[in-house]
Amino acid sequence: MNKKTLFELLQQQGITRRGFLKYCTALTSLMALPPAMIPTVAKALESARRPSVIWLSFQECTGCTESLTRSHSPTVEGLIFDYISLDYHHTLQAASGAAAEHAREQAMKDNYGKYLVVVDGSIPLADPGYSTIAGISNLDMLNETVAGAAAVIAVGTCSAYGGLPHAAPNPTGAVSVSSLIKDKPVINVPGCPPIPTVITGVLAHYLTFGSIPELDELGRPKVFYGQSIHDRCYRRPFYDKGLFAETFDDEGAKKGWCLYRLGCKGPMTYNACATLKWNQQTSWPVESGHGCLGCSEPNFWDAGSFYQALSIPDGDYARAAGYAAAAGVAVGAAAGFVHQKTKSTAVAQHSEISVDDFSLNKD
Amino acid sequence: MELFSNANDFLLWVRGDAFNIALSIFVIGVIIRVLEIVLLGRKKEYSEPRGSEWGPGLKNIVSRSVADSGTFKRAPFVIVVGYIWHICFFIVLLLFVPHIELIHAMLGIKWPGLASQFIDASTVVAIAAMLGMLWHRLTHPVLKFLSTYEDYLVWLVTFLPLLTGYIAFHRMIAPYPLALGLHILSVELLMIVFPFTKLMHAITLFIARWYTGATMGRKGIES
Amino acid sequence: MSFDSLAEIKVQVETPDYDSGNLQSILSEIKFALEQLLQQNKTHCIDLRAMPWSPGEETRLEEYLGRGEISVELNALGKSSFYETRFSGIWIVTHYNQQDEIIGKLIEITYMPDMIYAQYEDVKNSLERLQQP
Ligand code: SF4
Ligand code: SF4
Repeated sequence: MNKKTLFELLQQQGITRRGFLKYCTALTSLMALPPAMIPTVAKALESARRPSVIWLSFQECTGCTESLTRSHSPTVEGLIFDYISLDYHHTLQAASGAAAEHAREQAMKDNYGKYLVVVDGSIPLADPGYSTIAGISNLDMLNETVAGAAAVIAVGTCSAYGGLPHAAPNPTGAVSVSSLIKDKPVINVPGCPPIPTVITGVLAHYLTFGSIPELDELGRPKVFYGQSIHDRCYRRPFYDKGLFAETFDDEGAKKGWCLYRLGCKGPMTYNACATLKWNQQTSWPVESGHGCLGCSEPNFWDAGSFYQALSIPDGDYARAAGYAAAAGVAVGAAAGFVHQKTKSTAVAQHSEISVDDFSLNKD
Repeated sequence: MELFSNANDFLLWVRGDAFNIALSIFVIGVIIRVLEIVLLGRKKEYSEPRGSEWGPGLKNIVSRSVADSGTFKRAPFVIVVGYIWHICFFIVLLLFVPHIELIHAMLGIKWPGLASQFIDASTVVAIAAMLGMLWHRLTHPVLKFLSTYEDYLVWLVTFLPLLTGYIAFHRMIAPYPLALGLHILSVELLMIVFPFTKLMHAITLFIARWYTGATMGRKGIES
Repeated sequence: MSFDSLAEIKVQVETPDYDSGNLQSILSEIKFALEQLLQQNKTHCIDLRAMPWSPGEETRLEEYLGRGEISVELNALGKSSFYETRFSGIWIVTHYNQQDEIIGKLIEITYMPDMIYAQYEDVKNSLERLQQP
């Protein structure tokens, strides 16, 4: 861990108090905290130290790293990265092979018990050979690296919940970080990919306060994942009025009506897209006319078609109903036959009786 | 071992396997019950018909929806509240857009829906009506005496979809996948119980009314 | 052609008249804050980046608030602009990075945004610099 505080580092670069306050303002906004918190953030940052970060990439598509690096550097996000020490990231770092692994081991030794581990990608359990780095299986590397970590940040839906590799039939036996790591705090930052400012916001939180933010029951920071897409969607008034686009180019779509019927999974998806938006706050999926896919939720790949309304079951119900109908007809016909038989037997056994049959002294 | 690792898994199961199971039981059950009735047939009628069967049969299906004054005088509460309940229930069932989407996906037909404040109001009225009905059943001595466990079961499985639907719509249980999952599950329960209880009246009423109307039509009686 | 940032690509967004309710709620928040400023000398700040804006809504808010008598430009870690709207006491503050991308946008309800004042640490630093031979 670097000896200098973040404030001292900024001062060294000739950044004034005003510049520092501006940085704090941007950071507070990035962490999705109310502006009233700016002084608190400033105070915390004055004594904050640069944490060491080890980034592990397992079964992933590098989309999460792309999301992060394509987020307009060197902005606030860039500043965050300037002030953490990213000691190992095998995709971004120049070193490779033994030198890279050495860097990781060194960082672990120097900062034992204090460094952060960021993981993107899921871990295959079916066969360790499915994904290895420098000949080390993902599982081994995770266990070894996490042993001395202060906390683990699982970036992206793959490391948070298994993601695409975990989708049925899950050939690699992919699992999430939190299903393996039980003795360290795990912060899930899901999304496919996650919003870059959310990734940096979580890092910023740790950098600023030296603690992990409050999490929901799926391990996600509540500041970013506390409300659903639907709760904050600007198309919500249309949903409430019953005004829906029915195709992607009808009148309703042009007027910006709700996308529920086109398969929007916003009602069940907890993420910050509606406020933080994407691409430097240019827009976000629903704003550009496409429903939410639910990418920050566990098993979103297995939750049926992206273009089918949330209220529609996703099993093969037509087939189930077909078999059921056939079975129903067969059983119904059999039952009908039995009843017919009972009835005709009853008719056949029917015999007329007279008052005499009721005589008291019959015998 | 936990059954579901999270609410999403639960929702996935409810929308997948559980729905297929419930739908199968519902379809098998309804077909068996209807075939049982239809295949049993009626005794052959040898008398000369004095009128047609179809017209009066169909007319009777509609006309019997209005309670005759005698019945009304005997149980005005049940009839008025029963009416209100059925109307509100069908508004909610058939005019809420997510429900229409489901019907469209399954049967290929669709119609316009209502704005959610109407659906919301109807749900509240339907829930209130059901509570009123339950209260009536529990306080009316004759009704209470006649009630079996089936009556309470039927009340419960009908009430739960309304209640859970209201909760899910207002997002009163978090996370939402859990709320939605509970709603769908309660409907699945209703589907499973439906064919084997008096809930079948939703289908058999047509058969019964048609038979009555047709029989009377044949005998030339105005029904 | 190549672009270094999205801001260079000029896109004209057509804005249908959405009424998401954001404008009403933010205006009532501003009104309440102004009352508080007058009565209790309490300042208030709204993070505009935390609002679920519909397309064009933010622009409509800015157009409505308009521009007032004073504007200040700050140069620290990139530009920042402070200006009072046509409603005195309501300021719009925009922070940019070195690439001119917006990294923070706020409405401040105050007599003067704090950051405009010379800061104690910086003043101290000036003195030290002047005292150096
Ligand atoms: S577009 Fe999606 S998130 Fe927005 S209101 Fe409609 S269903 Fe909800
Ligand atoms: S709108 Fe939905 S699917 Fe799209 S990025 Fe956001 S959470 Fe993921």
